[in-house]
Amino acid sequence: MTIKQNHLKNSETKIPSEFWVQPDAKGSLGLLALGARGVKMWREARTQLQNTTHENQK
Amino acid sequence: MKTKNKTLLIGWDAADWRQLKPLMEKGVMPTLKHLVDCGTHGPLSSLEPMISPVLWTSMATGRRAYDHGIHGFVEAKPNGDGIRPIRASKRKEPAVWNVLNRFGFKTHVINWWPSHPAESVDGIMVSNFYGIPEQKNNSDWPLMPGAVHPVEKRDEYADLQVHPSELTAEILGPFFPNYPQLDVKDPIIQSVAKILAHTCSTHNAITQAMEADDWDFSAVYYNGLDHFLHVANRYAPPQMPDVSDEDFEKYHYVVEAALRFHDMMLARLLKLAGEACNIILVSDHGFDVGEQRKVALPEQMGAPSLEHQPYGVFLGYGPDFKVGFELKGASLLDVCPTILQLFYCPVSRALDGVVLWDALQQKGPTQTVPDFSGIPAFHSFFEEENQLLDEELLLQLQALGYVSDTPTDLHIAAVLRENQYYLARSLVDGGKYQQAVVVLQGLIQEDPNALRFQFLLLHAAFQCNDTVAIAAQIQQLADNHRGDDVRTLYYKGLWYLNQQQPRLAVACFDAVINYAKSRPGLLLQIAHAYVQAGAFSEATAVLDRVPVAKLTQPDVWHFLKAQCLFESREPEQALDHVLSAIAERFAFPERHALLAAILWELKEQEDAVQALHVASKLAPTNQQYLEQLRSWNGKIKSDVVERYLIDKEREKNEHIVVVSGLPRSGTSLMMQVLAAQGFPIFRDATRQPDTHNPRGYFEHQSVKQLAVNPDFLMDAKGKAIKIVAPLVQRLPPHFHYKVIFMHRPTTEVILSQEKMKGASEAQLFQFFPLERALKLEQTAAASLQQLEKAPHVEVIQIAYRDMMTQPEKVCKQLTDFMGIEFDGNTINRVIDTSLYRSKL
Repeated sequence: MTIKQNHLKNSETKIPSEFWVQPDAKGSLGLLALGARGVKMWREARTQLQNTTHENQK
Repeated sequence: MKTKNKTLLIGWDAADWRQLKPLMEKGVMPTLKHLVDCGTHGPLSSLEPMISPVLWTSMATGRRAYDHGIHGFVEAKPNGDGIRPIRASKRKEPAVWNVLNRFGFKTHVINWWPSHPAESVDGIMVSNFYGIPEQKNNSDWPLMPGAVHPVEKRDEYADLQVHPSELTAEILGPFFPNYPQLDVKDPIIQSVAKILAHTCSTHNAITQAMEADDWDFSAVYYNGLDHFLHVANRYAPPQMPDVSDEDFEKYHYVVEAALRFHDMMLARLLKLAGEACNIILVSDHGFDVGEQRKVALPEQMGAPSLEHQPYGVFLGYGPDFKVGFELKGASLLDVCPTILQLFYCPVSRALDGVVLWDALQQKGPTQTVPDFSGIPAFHSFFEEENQLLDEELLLQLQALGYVSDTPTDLHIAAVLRENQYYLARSLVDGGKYQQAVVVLQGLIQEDPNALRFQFLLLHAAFQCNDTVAIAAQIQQLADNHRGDDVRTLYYKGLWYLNQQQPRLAVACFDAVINYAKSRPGLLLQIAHAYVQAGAFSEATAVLDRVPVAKLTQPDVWHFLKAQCLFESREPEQALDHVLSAIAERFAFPERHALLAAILWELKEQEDAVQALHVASKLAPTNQQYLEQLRSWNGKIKSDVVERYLIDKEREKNEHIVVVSGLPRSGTSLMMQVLAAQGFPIFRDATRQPDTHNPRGYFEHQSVKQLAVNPDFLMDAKGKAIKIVAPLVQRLPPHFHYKVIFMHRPTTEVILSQEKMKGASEAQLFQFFPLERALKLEQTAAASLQQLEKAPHVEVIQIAYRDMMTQPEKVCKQLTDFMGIEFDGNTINRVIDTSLYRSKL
């Protein structure tokens, strides 16, 4: 299994069209399309989100 | 030195304009559309076999597989213990980055296939072993040893690898807009995650290299598109009959999503490249689209490549490329020389491709060198094995169906045989039919049941008119109870045509037609055979039975139809069909030649000359086109054609003079004449003079390897070389030859040969080897026949007896043929009639 189940739980709503944006705009795929710079930003944002979720749970 | 613009080469495996253009029109690939509108684009013809590691190496080296040495997906491990994914170290020719480095340009190369271990380039190289996850999660995911050059950049790049397990629903969701409950166990989702993660790793590496380190040339290869297509193209619209509504709903958007994501990545690359940079976007082959898609693939190794199509994409954009130009006739082999030209680097004359001048803003002379000797083909700092990664990559190839999954000894042998089969296909594709026959004969010995080897051998043998191999193979098929196989019948039909037995041929073809109602491709082949044999009414009858709508290559049908109509004096109808054939696929010289003939017939003479000019450019060794062009251009003057003809005349003077004939037919004597005339001789000192040839044999040992390795002929240009029959039939087609074919009565030849072996004349007359004499005569006749048919060969026959008795006649013959003055006195001095000992 290569995809973590918990990542997929958030997919209940339909994916909004703004994911199809050009790389300089926001959106996860847009960030990945930026390449090295984008992946760092994407990972940072994800870590922040996870930390926030963790704090809230506490 | 002139200023050069930077160049970025982007590889999108399997991209096909038929898939890209509708999305550009729909507005979902805006970056690509901008590049097409403001650059030069067109189809890029692929090569056989359509196997990505082979093709991307051809792209990088400008050479075909039999030259560059990468023949498949896998190779034998150095210790012989199994197989492993193919390594770049197998490459025998320098890649474009090696040449650019030699001339002082800095190069980044990312994920080229194959490129592991990374080479010690002047710049950054990230190998195709980068971003391959060898475990299920991303914790402790080290970068593979040897994957990054220079070594000090390892950590920087290790952090940029994206693991599939990192991808969230937010990332994957846009690929499955009608599949809200993404199921983690769904194999399509798992595949998409893997492919996307690897694509992101590649993209991260190239963007990092472009942004962080200076460069003149960068190359990046994205393999994701090909993988997305193999996984999900069958679910793309329009819905295929065997795809359920549910699956269609879930997966129909994957391919479009993948292409949109590639467009987004392209935008980023464009931004990083800046304005003073040329962008070249290419693919190695196309891919089945729409109705063409296959419901199922046969169970054979490499079967997924059957989904590949022969035309990929070429796009050139930037300061050196024309704006809004549609390029025709480009080949994958042209990419390397074109890049070298962009940097004003010399182009090796050994390359198989040409500079795509039509795509460039400025024309100029190409600086050429004989070859790239002195530039290492491959140089790496690393040679360590990585067992785990090898296994992971093999699993990927297995998952895609390129390699089967039972690693037994038998299987390993089969996989390595597959590489030989790919080599044979490459040889056939490059017109080296006789070498292909040799490789295929070896394969058939190992695996006599593999019909695809046998039919490819027949195809190659027919191309080089190797009648011995054809007859043997047809017999073997009959012995193996395959005589009634529809393909055997087809080749038997061809054989009968070849043997001037049209009735038997028709009987075979009729049987094939009855079998082949559902195989329109086979009907086309029969129609083609009839056209070749000049049986146009039979061809027309077969063509009329072909369901054109079902053809994957309707252009072939149009071309054959045009030939038949032209022959039946219906040029206007023929014109429509030949134009349809050319519009579909441009780079076939015979189509342009037919167009020229039709236009000439219709009194459109200027257009006819232009069409023939195109044909001649596409088939530069075709003397018939050149002669016709000279003749027509004498009536309709065109400056462009005039310049072209002058260039061709210059090239022609670089021909190789071949002295041929049966052994002991006077070939050494003719070599002596040429040497005495001051003509340069290609020989070595291996075979010394003896009593049978007191003045020497004038031979070169390399000639014995002609069928396997004809590279030595490069050094024979402008010289005379001795190649006896039947070996002379194996001359490769990419040189011009003037062949002096010696003729001597076979009885005298036998006498002379037997005396060399120590037999006495009395013995010979008592037991004359009549059967051998007949065989020798057939050999000489077959060699001569083939030479006379070859477009790149001019032949003259010289009688040995004339040399002995009428040297002045021979002198005139040689003067006329060679275009240089031969001195009768010189010939007289060379000829020693006392050596004419074996005569009747």
